[in-house]
Amino acid sequence: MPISPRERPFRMMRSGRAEDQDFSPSELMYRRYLQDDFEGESFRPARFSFPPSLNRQRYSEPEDVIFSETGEFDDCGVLECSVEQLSVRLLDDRNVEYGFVPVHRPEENNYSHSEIWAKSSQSNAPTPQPSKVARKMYRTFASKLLKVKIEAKR
Amino acid sequence: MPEVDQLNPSSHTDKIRDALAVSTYSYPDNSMLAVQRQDSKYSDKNLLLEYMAILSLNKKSGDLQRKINEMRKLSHNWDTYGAEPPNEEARNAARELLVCMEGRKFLPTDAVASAEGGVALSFTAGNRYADIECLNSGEILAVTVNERGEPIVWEVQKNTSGFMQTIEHIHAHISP
Repeated sequence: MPISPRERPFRMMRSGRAEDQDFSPSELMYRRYLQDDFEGESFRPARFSFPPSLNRQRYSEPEDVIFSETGEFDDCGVLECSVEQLSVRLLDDRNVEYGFVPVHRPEENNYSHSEIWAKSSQSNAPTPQPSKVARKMYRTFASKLLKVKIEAKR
Repeated sequence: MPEVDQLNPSSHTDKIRDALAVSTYSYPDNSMLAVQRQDSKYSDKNLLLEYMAILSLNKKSGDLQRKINEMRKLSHNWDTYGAEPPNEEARNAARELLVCMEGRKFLPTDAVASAEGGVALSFTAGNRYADIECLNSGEILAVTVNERGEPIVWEVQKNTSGFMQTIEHIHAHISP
């Protein structure tokens, strides 16, 4: 039996709104996951790509990350983590210090979409491509902070 | 291969010896075995345990190799965030690492596709964690994480010496 497409919540639409780079440390960030993304109790670092794609709490609900008109993410779960936890400083193998910060990257059908970028001690502008060692350090560190908000069914 | 659970007490040493002779595992030849059986290290019980450990290692390695082979069936966006499937170079590097690890009798706990594009071999023991990622770019990166959650990352040299150095480092980290 054909299933009618669901309607995207209005809050998800950008509707001409500007970027908002003001993140509160306590603001939560959300991301979807699959059961196989976990090894035991821990989220696998290998399943956390850089720059990580997240939805911000200020403009979304947790279940927005698993919304799809076709239902393709229906059985995915939702992870959460605070901006404060995700904003860390790490020193790579060349002694370059990176500060990781959330960056609002709104999409037309997902206004809350954000990513984590890195500011290096050599350049103040955030970049989605810090050194490969810094990226892997961050993925490994941050993946251990993610907590399950909604349990995945597949 | 012999059925381990059907061995009877009078003949199991011979069967184990025969099985070891046809396995790929390097083991003292039969004359050495006859002399060294006086030593407790080569007691019947230890031989059986060692043989079972080798069987278990071979099975686990085979399972991981099959899991890596299966990754070629993944398609673009398999992780729902736009990840590419592991390419042939990444899969081959992961398989080569597995062969080195089997030789060292130290296998990863799992092998999974990486969201960065590639294959990740992971090691877990309590609060300790390590992994090696063979990326589609051809680069191989390894990480260890201590009890405080601090990651140490390094690039792995793509040769046997580089592989073995990394395996020894992770072994020391996971099995101190």
